[in-house]
Amino acid sequence: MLWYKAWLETRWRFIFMLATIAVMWVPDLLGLPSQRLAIALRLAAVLQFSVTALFLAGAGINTQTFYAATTGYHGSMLFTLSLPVSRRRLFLVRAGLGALETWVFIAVLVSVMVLRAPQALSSAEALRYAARAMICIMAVYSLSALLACFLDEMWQFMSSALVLGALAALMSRSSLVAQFSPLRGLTVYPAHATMPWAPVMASIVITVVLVCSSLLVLRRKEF
Amino acid sequence: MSDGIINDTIIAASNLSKSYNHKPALRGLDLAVPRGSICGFLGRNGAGKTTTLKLLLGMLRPDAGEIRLFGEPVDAEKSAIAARRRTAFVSEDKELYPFMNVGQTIRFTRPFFPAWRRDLEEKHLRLFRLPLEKPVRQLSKGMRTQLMLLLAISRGAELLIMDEPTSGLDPVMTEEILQALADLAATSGATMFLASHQLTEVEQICDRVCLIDEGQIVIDGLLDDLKSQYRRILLVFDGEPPATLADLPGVDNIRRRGRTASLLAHEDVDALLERTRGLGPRSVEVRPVSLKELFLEHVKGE
Repeated sequence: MLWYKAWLETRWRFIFMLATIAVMWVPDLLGLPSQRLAIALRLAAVLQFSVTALFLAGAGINTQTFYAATTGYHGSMLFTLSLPVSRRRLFLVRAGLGALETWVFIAVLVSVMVLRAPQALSSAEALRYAARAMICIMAVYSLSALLACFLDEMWQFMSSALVLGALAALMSRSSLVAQFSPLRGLTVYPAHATMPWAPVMASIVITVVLVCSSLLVLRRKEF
Repeated sequence: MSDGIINDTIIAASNLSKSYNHKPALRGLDLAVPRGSICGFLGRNGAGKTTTLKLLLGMLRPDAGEIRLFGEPVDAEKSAIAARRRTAFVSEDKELYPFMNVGQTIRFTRPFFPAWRRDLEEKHLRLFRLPLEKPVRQLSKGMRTQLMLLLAISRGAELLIMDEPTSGLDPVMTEEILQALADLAATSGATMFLASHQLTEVEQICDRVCLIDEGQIVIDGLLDDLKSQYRRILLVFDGEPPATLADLPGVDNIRRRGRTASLLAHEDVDALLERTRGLGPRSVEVRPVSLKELFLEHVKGE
């Protein structure tokens, strides 16, 4: 039933995020040449993946029970917490569904990219790209999920965006950061034909660390 | 505590402390609610009522102290979940999921509780006239309260913890809800712990009262016992009331106005009366004390 609740809770956000894929048609509307289209696709992919991950994570992972339990505003959190369910399970179901929705979003987005610009990305490259994007986006997503254990929805979203902004800024200054950054794994170009193992492996490590940190935080709050 | 006392005590909290940003909300709170009782939990705003409820339900971790529900310590995830399976909670704000309708909310809640009572669910759906297809976000506060109460009652819970269950309701709906609670207590023997500001409601359905002030319990006992223990003694003197009045044993509180003194007394009121008569008042009057008076006399501040 928690999955059912999570779906009811997020379905409109999910549908809204799918609708943003229409941005793929913007270059057409602006009459941009194909090279510009490729740049636009690259930018759209990074931006859309990141924002989707943040947005879906922010759509009520909020087992940020300390905030809920100690401030005047609770929403339905007190009702949820009165159920015989651990915070860990609440978190895993909600974060799990958000991750699933993010992956579906990536699958749809990459499919649209292939359909829109088949000369830019073959099917095999698209599959490989989708796989690494799904892995790398989890680093962004799990950061947002971890922040959901501390912060309310607005601050969680803003803090995640700030961290991502700082990471993007660092990438331009440090080649080491640029090499391992999950954001690099989300870009379609350059080198779309090969798997960028450094950011993929870094993303797996970051995701595992952040998810484990979230579970530890929740365990400390659990009583 | 002996085993018998533990088994008959549904809620037992000892030396419970909780602070927010170094501001103490609870300071060594001790609480014992026996099985089958309807206990009113009274206190001013900010006295620590809601914090206590959240601690009991495992929504917050205490800084110090121990909580036992149903005789078992609630100090870990497993025990807290087990306790919540036998407990129902009605929060003060009565917030449910706005993206569900009444029927979905009931169907969502039902599987979490193995002891769910379909008969009570159907009975209260009829009683409260709740439309199954109506979205929760369109329900009035009264209807949300009724839905929360339906969910709480149908759980088959042995313990109902309620935070201001009738706040914001009109008198008719308040009466309906109090009646439903009284019926449940009479038929199921469930224990109820009811935080409230509504002293008349507490007097109407509770058999026990705990009064919290500044994070500590200042009164705890059966309502009838408290009412019989406490007396208001009004004394009129020819001049100023003597200063020694406050030193008399059994005097909880004293108020002076001109030539009169009003004493709140408990424990051996007869002996106290004898002593006050020795101070030479012109008249002595003894009155029973209402719950409101007890409340006002025991909470600090204005």
